[in-house]
Parts: sequence; C-alpha cells; structure tokens
Amino acid sequence: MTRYIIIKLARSAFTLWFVVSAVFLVLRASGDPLYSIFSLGTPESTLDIYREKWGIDKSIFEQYIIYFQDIFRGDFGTSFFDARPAWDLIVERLPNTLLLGGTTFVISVVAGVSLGAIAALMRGSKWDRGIMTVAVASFSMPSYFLGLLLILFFSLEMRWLPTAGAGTWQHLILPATTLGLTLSGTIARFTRSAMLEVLRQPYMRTARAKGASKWRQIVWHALPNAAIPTVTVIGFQLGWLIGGSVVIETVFSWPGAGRLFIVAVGVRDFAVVQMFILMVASTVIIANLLVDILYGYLDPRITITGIKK
Amino acid sequence: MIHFLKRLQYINTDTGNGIKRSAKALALATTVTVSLTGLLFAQAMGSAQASSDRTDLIVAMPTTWASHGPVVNSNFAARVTYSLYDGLVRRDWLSAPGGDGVNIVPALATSWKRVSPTEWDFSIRKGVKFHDGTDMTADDVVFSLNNTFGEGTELFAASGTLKTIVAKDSHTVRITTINPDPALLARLSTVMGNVVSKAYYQKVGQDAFGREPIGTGPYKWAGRIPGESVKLEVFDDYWGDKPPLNSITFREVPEVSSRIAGLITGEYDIVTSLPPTLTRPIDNDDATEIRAVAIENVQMITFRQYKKDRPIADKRIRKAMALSLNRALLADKLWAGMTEAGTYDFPGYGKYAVPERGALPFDPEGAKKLLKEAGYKGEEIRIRVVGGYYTNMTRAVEAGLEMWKEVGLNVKLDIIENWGQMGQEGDAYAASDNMWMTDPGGGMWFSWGRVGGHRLKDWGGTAPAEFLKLGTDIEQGADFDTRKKAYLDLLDLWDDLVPAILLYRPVEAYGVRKDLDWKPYTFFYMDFRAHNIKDNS
Repeated sequence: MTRYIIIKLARSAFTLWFVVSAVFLVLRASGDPLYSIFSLGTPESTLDIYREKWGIDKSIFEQYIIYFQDIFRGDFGTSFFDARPAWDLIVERLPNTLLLGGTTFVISVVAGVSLGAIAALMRGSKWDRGIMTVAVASFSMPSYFLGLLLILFFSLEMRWLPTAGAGTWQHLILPATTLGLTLSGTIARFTRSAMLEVLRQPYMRTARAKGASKWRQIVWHALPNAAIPTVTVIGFQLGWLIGGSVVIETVFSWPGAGRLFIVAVGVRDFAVVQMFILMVASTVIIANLLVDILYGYLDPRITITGIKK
Repeated sequence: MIHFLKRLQYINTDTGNGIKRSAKALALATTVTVSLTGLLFAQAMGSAQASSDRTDLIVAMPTTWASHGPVVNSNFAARVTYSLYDGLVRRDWLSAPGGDGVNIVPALATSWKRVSPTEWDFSIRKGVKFHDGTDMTADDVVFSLNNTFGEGTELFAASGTLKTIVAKDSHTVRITTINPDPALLARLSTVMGNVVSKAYYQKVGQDAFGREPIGTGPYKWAGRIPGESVKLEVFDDYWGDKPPLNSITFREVPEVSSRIAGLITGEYDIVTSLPPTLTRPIDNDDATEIRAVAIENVQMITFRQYKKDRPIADKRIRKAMALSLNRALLADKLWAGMTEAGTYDFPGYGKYAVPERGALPFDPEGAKKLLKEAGYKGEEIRIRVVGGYYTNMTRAVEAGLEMWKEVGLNVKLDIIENWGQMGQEGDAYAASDNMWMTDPGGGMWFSWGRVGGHRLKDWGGTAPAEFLKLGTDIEQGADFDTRKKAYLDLLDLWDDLVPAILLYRPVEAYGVRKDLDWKPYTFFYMDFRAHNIKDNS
C-alpha cells in the first residue's frame, strides 16, 4: 500500500510539474501583460520600470528557474494587477468557491445518486423515463444558458431570488442549483446504469432468498456494489467543481476564485493564473488519488497489484 | 410529492415489491436532505441591511479596478475616482444640456489670474480637508501637479506644457508653463489636476496609495473586495455642497444580462456598459430607463503608413478606404443610431468645435477613382483587431470587408487575443483615442503630433512638418482666431492624409432607475456631487 501511494504521488508530482510548466510557457507566449494592465498609450519608459519590477524583463528560462525556486519557498508570486501575493488573493476567494462548490456537491450527489437509483429500481416506467430525460437535458444544456433561464424565471418573472452577487443565502440558490442540476444529471445516469447491472447479479437474488429486508437489499447489497463507477464520476467532478464553476461565477457575479481566474487570464496576471491552475490540478490529482484508495475499500477484489499491473 | 409516492406503489419492477417501498423511502430521504442542506446554509449566512436617510447607491459595472490613483484612466477606475478627488478647477459638464458642457468653474482654487503669458497664480481654497482629516494646503497642490510630469510617478499627457509649480504662500500657487498656454485651465480640469495628500502619498508610495486613495472629494474610500465591489462613503467634511448619498457601491457584474436583470428587479440603481442594441428589456420596463451618451472618444482603424512597400503607404488608397466605408450606416446599425460617423472634432471643444463640418463622406465612386489613380491592383490589406476589446469593433470591420470589396479593395481581418500580441504586423489596426481635454490642443494633437504621442510611431516616428506647425499653433496660439484657423487647417490636413479611418464616437449606455435624477456625462466619469444626483424615491 505504501509503495502504491508513493508511486501514485510521484506520478502526481510529474503531472503537476507538467501542467505548471505548460501554463508558464503558454502564458508568456500569449502576449505582454503590460498592455493589458496599463492604459494604452502609457509611455514605454514607465512600462519598462514595471517589467523590471515584476521580473518579466528576464529571459523565459531565468523566469522559469526563479518561479520554481519561489514555489519551493512557498512563494507563489505577486499579482501584477492587485500588487498582492497570488496566494492571498486566491485563498481569500476560496471560501466563496467552496461554499458554492460544497453546496452544489451535496445537492448533486444526494439528488443524483437517489434519482439514479430510483430510475434503476423502476426501470422502464414513466418515472425512469422522466428522470432520465431531465438528466440528459440538464447536462446537455450549457450551464451558462441554464443559469440565464433560471435568472429570467426566478428573479425577473417571479422576483423570488436575487439575480447575482453574494452575501445572503438567497444568493446561493440559483448558482448552486444551476451547477447542481448539471452535475446531478451526470451522476444520476451513471448511478442508474451501475444499479441496473448490480440488480441482475446472483447475490441480489441470494439476498432476497435469505430474507433480507428490501431496504437492506438496496442500501447494503446493491448501492455499495454500484458505487465504483459512481465514485469515479464523482471524483472527476470534484476538480470540476473548483475549475468548472468559472462560468457560473461569472454569470451570477459570484465572487469566487473562478472569477478571479477569468479576470487574471484577461489581464495576463501570470502569478494568479499559475497559482489557480496549480490549485485546480492539485485538487483533481488529490481527488483521483482518494478515489483510487477508496476503490480498495469499496471492493476488496481491487488490490494494489491489480492497479499496478 | 404524495402523488409521486403513490404512483411508486403501483409500478412493477423485476426486483420485487419491497424494493419499490425502499425507493419511496429513498425519494423521501433525498427530498429531506436537499431541503436540509438549503436550510443549513440559510442559517449560516443570515443577512443584515443597514439603513439611513441618505441613499446607499449601487452601481453595477462589468469589473472593478485594483488601483484608484489620481490620474488613472481605465474607465472602471475613472468612474470611481471622480468622486474621490477634486482639482483646482472643475469642468462644468452640466453647462450644456447634453452633459458635455465645457465651462470651467472654481473647485480647490477660488480664483486665478494670468500674471504673464506663461505665469498663472491660483488662490487655493481655505478650510478644505482631506479624507484623513488633515488640511489641504498649497504644498499638496504643488506636489500633486509636479507628480504628473518629468520625474513624477503619476504621468499624464496633459501636463506636457508645464514647467514649474511653486507655492508662493500657504494658499497661492504659481504655475509656469514652457510656452504661452491658452489651454491651461482645460488641462487642469482633467485628471492631471487631481489633488492628493502629499504627506500620505509620500508615506505609503504610489502602489499603496492607489489601493487606499485619499483625496478631498465628496466621497471617501471605504474599501474594495476584490471580485465583488468597490465602496465609497460620504465625506461629511466635504468643502462643497453636502453630498446627497450615504454610500456608493460599485459592484462587479460581468454579465450584461445579469446587469439588466438586476436593474429591473431593483437590486441596482444604475448599471453601466450596456450594448446600445440590447436595451429593449429596460425600454419595456416602467421603473427604469436607458440614458445614453456618445462619449468623447473616437474609434478608428489606424494605418501603419510607415510601411513604405505596402499599398496603404499611398494616401489615396487610405482615403479610398475611408470613402468606401459607410460609417453612418455602421453608426446607425451597430449603435442604434445614437452616434454618427466619426471625426476628431468634438462638441467638447466648445467654441472651437465645427460640428457643421462633418466627417469624410461616404463616396464609393470617389473611392474607385482614387484607387484607379493610385494603380491599386488588389493587393491584400490586413487589419488587426484585438477581439472583444472595443465594443462592436469586430462587427464594424466585418461589415467593412464587404463594403471595401464593392469598390475592389482586398481587405482581410486578423483577430488577435490581446494588445500584447499586437506587434507591428498588418497594414492597419483598430484603436481609439480620447478627446482628453476641452481644447483642440488635446485629442488629435496629443496622440499624433506632440512629443510622447502614442500614435507617432504610425507616421514612422514623427508627424509631417505641416502637421507639427499647425499643432504648435493650436497649442501656443496667442488668440482665438489664430488657434481656430490652425485647428480648421489641421482637420483639413487630416482628411487629406487620412492617417486613420475615424469610425464613430462610441456610445455609453446606462440603465438607470427612473426616479433617480442623475445625468451621464460624455465621458466615463460618473458625477455623484450634489449638483448631479437626487433620489426621488
């Protein structure tokens, strides 16, 4: 197990290095940030002062070395735009993103798994078809569009909820619902097919034969066996919750890290973009690592040697 | 829900009856959990709203800016700083009905006198306080103005004619200009004239000052929440009329549709930056309305005429491009008829302005003739546009491609991602220019003629001698007639040389709550002083 985790960690480190380096290079190849941050027409002499101050007058190679030295010292660079450490900027926005992401996550997992299970248990019925239609519709519709539809109905027509912003629990409802709907559709579909698979297994017949209560049949025998593919999908979505809320944070003016990222990309704020990508990549990697480890618990047949090949 | 549960009982599945009952239980559990999650957050995030007799105004705009120093020109920062600072003099935008008045009125200076052609004495208002409670003195004025040129840290183009600024006594400042400068007051009414606290600025430095600015304006800095808002609060020791608002929150709402929706639901009092063609929901709403102005800026396609081997080095081809582009039609279709074909002549030039002169006409036949004369044989002309930077620019050039094709011009559009990628490629590029100040010594002359102008490179380093002579006559001319004649000649020279195709003045459309008396000015500044805002709700 230890060896397995070490190998996994080494691979994760490589992935992180690759992602960070790619972002580092692409950002610098995509244009000089000075022209985005300063008004057009600012004298070049002024811009040069800032180039030197921000260290982007050096060669890309030198910048790269300095960047990695800084990372190992725990310094993720300073935002050009805000003149504050990129770490601080992102960390102070994270609670908002996590609040939105966490709510979405709870809603979508509970709704997705339950609806998927219900659809499977009632396969072929109107309810099955109904749930699956909604599920397919919800994840096919761009979340951006869905968000606007919800604003149109709940804010503009009914005047029940605020259109955008943050601060009260009402502000959370629309963005969390938009994200949650999209996500629960995916989860419901995976849960349904996994459950159908499981319900046909001999051990389900055995469970019925030995007289287990029906509730116990589902919760004890069916769901855990259907969990493997579902957990995989949910694991993928964890990273997506931080990175993928970027669009929804913009539509709903939610002051989370995703919006910070969008603005930072717009003005080529190197440190913030790099730090954000590093964070999302780490989240995805950690989530996948947890999923891998969780497999072993969910299904003892999956062993370390099995994964290692 | 009950209906749903009942239905569950009658559905047969191949997995047995008990499972249906469990599915029912599962459905119930789902509902309970989802509702509980909602409630939990509901409790965790309780809200409280403060109240006051004076309005807490909320302005929604696409983004907020990080730095709010005295000469900042990003439009998102300029909307805020107009309430933070005062200058020696103030442009009275309301002195004309269109919000584009040009009268200069006293502000931090109570009076002024031109003691010689190059020397001006300003009497500084007494009893003015900065937001930190300290008194404003002549020293602060001297420091602030000196900081906008030479070795200063808040450089601004309008300061180019200043030589020295000294305090004669604690409430008199003498400004000496390099040459006679008839436009000094116009210069001082731009952001260049904004007065900051010397002691505070020197203590914290430029960057920190920009993040927590201190001026003498009617509203004081109350903080920025990155990604969310910038807030100003009323400054009760303001020297002028009592500011009517309790606070102003500039809230970031990047989505146009969200801004419009939030205005209609009453979450915002004013929303900025609406595309003029997307205003129908507000037009149809009883409580809100659109207030739009063509701002003192002109969008253009600028030629890299220094590229001598390219067709656009020939002024006849440049002119043909301008003549064959139906800019009146673009202004009508893209800006809902709220603006017209562009020139470098702005109404804000007051008595110098010549609106009757108009823009270069739409004349495709004339264009064909010029192309023939120039021997144009369909060589490719590439225009570079930074996608999404200027409202409607990509659409305008795309429409232009067809119009140019009509007269035989082979024009291609290159869309690039940001200004850092602009480089020197292509034959022309999309840009814009401000009027800068209420005097023809700004505008075209600032950008295309004066030392440091940011379009000089398009001439190839320096403007033609005749252009420089006319510009200098405008800048230093002793009397109105000399200056006006030079100005008219310069406009003619421009139309002959066509260094850029002037498209139109862009329109800034605000959505405003109807019972709010507030008038937009013809620039990005939003004025919330007592003379321009009253809440009738």
